Amino acid sequence: MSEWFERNRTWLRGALEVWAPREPRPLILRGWLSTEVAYDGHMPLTLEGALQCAVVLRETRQQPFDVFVDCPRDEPLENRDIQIPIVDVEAPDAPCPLALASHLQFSPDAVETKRAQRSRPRAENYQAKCVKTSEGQTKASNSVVATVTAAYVDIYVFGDAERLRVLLPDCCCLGKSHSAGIGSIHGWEIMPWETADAEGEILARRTVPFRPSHPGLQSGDADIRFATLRAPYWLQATRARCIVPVQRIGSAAE
Amino acid sequence: MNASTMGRDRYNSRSSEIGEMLEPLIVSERSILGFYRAFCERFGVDPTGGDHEFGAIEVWLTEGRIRWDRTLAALNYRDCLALIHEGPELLAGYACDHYAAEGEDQMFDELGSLSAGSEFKPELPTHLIQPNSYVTIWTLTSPMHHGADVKHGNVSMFRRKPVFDPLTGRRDYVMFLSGNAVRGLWRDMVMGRWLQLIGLSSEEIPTKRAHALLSGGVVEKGSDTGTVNNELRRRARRLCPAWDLVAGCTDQQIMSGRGRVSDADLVCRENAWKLHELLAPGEKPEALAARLRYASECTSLRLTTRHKHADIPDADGVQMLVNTELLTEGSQMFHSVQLWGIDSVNQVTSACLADLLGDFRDIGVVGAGAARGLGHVAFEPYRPMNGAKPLPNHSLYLEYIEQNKAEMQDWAMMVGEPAPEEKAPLGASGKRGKKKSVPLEPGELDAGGAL
Repeated sequence: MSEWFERNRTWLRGALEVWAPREPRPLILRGWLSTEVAYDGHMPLTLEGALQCAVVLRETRQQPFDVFVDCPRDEPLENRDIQIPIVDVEAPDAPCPLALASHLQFSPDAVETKRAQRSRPRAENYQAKCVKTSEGQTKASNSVVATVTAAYVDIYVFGDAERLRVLLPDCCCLGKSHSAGIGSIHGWEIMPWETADAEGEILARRTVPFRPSHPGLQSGDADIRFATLRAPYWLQATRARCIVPVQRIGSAAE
Repeated sequence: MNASTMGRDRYNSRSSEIGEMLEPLIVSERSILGFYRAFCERFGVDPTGGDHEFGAIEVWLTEGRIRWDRTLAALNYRDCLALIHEGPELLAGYACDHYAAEGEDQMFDELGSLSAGSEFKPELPTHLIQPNSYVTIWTLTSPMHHGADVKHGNVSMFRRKPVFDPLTGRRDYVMFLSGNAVRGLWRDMVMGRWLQLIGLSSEEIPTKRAHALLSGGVVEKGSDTGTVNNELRRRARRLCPAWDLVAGCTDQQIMSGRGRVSDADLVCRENAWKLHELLAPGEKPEALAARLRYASECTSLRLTTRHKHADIPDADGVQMLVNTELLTEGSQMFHSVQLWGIDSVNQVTSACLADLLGDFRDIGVVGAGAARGLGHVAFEPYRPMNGAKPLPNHSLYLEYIEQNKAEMQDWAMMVGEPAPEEKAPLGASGKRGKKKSVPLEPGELDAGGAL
């Protein structure tokens, strides 16, 4: 057992009690967007990470990054997993349980856009006699972020509406570059979702382990590639050969 | 339009000039006919066609010939604005080519779908779960400018972003002030004040620290960013609440700040759907929209002259005319800021935000051109919305600084931290080799280490 887990086990166990789904139902979480969302068309956007951050903030009163920075890379999943009010399922060949939450589905009006992010050194305020703003560490930059402009995003989940209602106000933005305004959420709606096969429909809209019979492969609506299967998605521990649905910008989320 | 009236050089580059000027010309006018007049004026064309043997200017369509002013009168101003914003070069190329280019029709079809808008009109939400935030409405007491992503000749346009209006199903380009710009301004203010309160100036502290505080710092080439130093991180957040608020990269530690600064959105018809609960609670968004102006009605162009000063001997300056697109005085903008994890944020950091917002209100300037009187705003104090807790009194922040001033000064001066020149030089592979003593010329590195 790692020192990190020793230090964090109390709140992790507490979160397991508090945020586990009690009365899960098929739901649509609709996030009305205040600004465009950073999206490169390759890495799907998901909500679970934002919900996990909200749980960490509530349970520890610290930034998730500060809590997890010294978490050993080989820490078992059951020790570092953060409970959210969304049901998990076991999938064959998956190295971890899969959360029943779809990728973000953009509204039919969505279009690809871009946003420039500028940064410049306050050179005159520095002690140095000479500051180069065209190169090196103090280079001024104007980087462009690929974004999508849409009215809203939908996430199809099988989860606990009451607990989600508590956490969603802390999910104020989606995607990267959010500290500077990109991906701001205007507000969330939790809507009931009438469906006979919630699990099947959600799994068709999210990354799943590879299986040749996946319907998306025949229709060309999915890619085969290596991807991670559980939040935090940047962590390579849950990486596997997967089927990743293709998000078509501007096509209706059914 | 001909070479004799315009000059040969200008005539030869007319397509690029048209491409650059289309957008400034249309935003400078309030109607499509106004745009037509301004366009003719710019290129020395008589709009009545009196200077041309063929009479009034005409446009050739597949259906036949039609006078240009009559064509324009039938077009919608906002559609044209959107079309021009999307493809000024395409339109300019079309205007100057005698023959159709391959694929041109398909490109025009794409532009046509843009102006038509979509039939998608989603049902607006009635019970939104909104993020906890602090909000206010800025009222511009002077015109404001915020530079666009692209430049149009000698015209600096206001920055715009695509906005979807669920009430109409249209997508328009609406002026805004980016959250990144506001955050940069706030970073300057909050760091400047913190340094002042601990009795230092940015020029007294090491350049590296000043760069981190004022510009967010930099991930150093060859540095080991994979090593996380919790002690350093917690010390930075504890000793500099302003750093906890905006953060960045210092001591090879990439850290995220608590603040989430939103774009400032224009109060206009296109944004009415998301502002109605704040501006007119209980009123239907359609009713509010009907009372607001379109975004395109909120700007004007201002001409600025840079004089040549030919009376000064050996003056090498040239006369320049520069146009700047401004948001007009009296326009309003909606702005919000969130503290990530509002009820779990350190109270001193919250008090630091309270202090910053008070400071910002006192200064009341945003955007570019402050030195020439642009960007003055007036607003009520930011107020908590959607369940956010009121911010603590800023005196908590001031008292905290007073109690920890000496330790804060040490952190700002990087006391006890290795100076950059003490590190081993990087090899060609980016890895650190054995430290060699490299003789420095006197004054090569200043006290803080030049970057």
